[in-house]
Amino acid sequence: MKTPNLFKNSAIAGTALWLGVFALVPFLLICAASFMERSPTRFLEPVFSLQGYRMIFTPGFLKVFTTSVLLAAVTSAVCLVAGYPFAYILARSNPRYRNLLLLLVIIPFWTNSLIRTYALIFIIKTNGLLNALLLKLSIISKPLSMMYTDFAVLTGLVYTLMPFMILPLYASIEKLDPRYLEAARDLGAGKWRTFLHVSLPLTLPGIIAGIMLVFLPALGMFYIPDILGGAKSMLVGNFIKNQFLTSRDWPAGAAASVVLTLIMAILLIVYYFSESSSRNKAVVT
Amino acid sequence: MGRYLLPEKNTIIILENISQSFGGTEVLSSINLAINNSELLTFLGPSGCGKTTLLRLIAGFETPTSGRVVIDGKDVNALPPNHRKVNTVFQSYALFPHMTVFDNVAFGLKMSRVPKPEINRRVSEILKMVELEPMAARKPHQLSGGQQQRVAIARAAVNNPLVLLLDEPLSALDAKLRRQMQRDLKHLQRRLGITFVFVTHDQQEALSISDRVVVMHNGRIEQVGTPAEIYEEPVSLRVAEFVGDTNIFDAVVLGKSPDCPDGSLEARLEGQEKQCLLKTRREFADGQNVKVVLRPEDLLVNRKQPGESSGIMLSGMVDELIYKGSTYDIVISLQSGKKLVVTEFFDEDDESMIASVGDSVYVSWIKGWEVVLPDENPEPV
Repeated sequence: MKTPNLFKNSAIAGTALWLGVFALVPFLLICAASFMERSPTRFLEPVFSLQGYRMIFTPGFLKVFTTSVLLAAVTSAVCLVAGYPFAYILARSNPRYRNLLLLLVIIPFWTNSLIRTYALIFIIKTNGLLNALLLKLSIISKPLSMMYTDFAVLTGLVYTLMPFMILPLYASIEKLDPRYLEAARDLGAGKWRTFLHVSLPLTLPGIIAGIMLVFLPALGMFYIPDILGGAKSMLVGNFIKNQFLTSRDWPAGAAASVVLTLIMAILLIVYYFSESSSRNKAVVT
Repeated sequence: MGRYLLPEKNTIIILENISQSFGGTEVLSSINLAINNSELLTFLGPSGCGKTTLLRLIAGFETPTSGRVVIDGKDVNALPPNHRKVNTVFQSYALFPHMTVFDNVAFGLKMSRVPKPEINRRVSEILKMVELEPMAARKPHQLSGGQQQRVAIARAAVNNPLVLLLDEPLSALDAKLRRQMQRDLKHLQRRLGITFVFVTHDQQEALSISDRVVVMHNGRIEQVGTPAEIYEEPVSLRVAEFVGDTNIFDAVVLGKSPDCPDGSLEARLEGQEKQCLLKTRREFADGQNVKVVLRPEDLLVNRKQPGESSGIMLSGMVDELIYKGSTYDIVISLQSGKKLVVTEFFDEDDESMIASVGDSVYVSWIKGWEVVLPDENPEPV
């Protein structure tokens, strides 16, 4: 009995130590930095100040922030609408091909996403593959300029984050017992109403998990808007990066990071309570 | 999809020459059956005999490879399950876990766009009938197995289907609850007046609830009949062995008995010198090998050697007594080495009935209760 306990405890202690040193401590440092003053020479002046927060509660930052939320929401929506049918087909496919299809979803993880984002440029740039194809098919008469638009950023985000939507959806659709669908059909529901009243509510956990996994990274990802959106596209992630690296305003960057983290934490807490309250309600009634 | 000519006005479902194969394996072959309106019909058979597939064909989850399903005079082969006026009680219940009991039961009515006040009335009514009204707001996982089972029945029955299909609905319940539910189901069926088609592998269950039983084996119908017909007049050894316990003797037909005009045969039973008389309505050729089936309760045990006149007597020795509560089984070894099982009721007034292990006894049977069947695969002599 002793050895497994030792193993268990040391494994937990190791993980806790790792997270403490490399996640909790940096986060606390950022929190502290957000309440300091900027210094022209040393990045930070260790005196208490709300300067950083004052910097970000401005109409300029709020606009950046709402654009980011909107873009992250659209990214999540596109991933969900495109990913659900794929995940459904994947989960219901012949087990012989299923692993191959799953592999296709996972393969992009094997390449650095920065490289994949650069690769996207070759497809969507003015003399890129997509325009060449559309011109060849005579669908358009002159090339579209897609680079450095919100469309390009959206494409990049959807492309990069799609697996994070598909995998949780796949997991919950695969668990969906086909006998529930048969029961619904038996009780007079057509295919669409079976989906609406049975499949959708029963796979809701996967939908929520997928949205969390897409929405939150989409808010903070900075290199995709940088590369595909150019200077035009300023999102929260880019704002933070610029504060630290370009403007050298560490308190403002730190404050924006803290606000972003708080919003994510609130979303997670709301999700957690909505989950557990629906569970509790079921027990009480 | 025109009207189909019904052989009988009372028929609700016709299965016409149905065969079903999955990936080259034949699961059902040439099934022909007419199901009567408001009867309780049971498909009985061992697992893998095709009984569940047959139920799924009626429900619309499978399409027959050949043949057709006719419900209420209409060929429904091309009709998906949601357009058939039949409902299923699934073996696993398949209650929607995210809905309350009320919403589960109301689902079918909502799907057929019944007005809300009527939904409320009908759901309450059926929940009252299955005694689950206080549970209406609960989720399925908060109910016991028996309660879930009743919700599943209510959810199907509330739609007033032409036929209610039940796929081994009681197999997950314990023995006592099972017997209770068998009685309840039978009462519910009479009260609703709906045809029930029931699938089970439990012969006791099939005999006790059914109006008619369809015994299936290997994708074919072996016999269709009332429970009494199935039990007392099985058409094949397979039916006899599947429905209840049996003692089976080999015998050779010697000829028609000249003394009895009722069709009795003279035959020689295995291991016996003396001829015996077998009563049967079947025709057998002289010299044909037959099997004689006797149920344990058809046999009589005597401790004393009876007189010459009393027909065949098999002598043997008591091997084992198995106490069964209201009855006991006596296992007897005959001189030939063959073992018989005899079921006796306790008789407090007759001490002599109670045998003990090692006693020599003589076994006879109640005349006319034997079943004589052709020997389907006679062993080469």
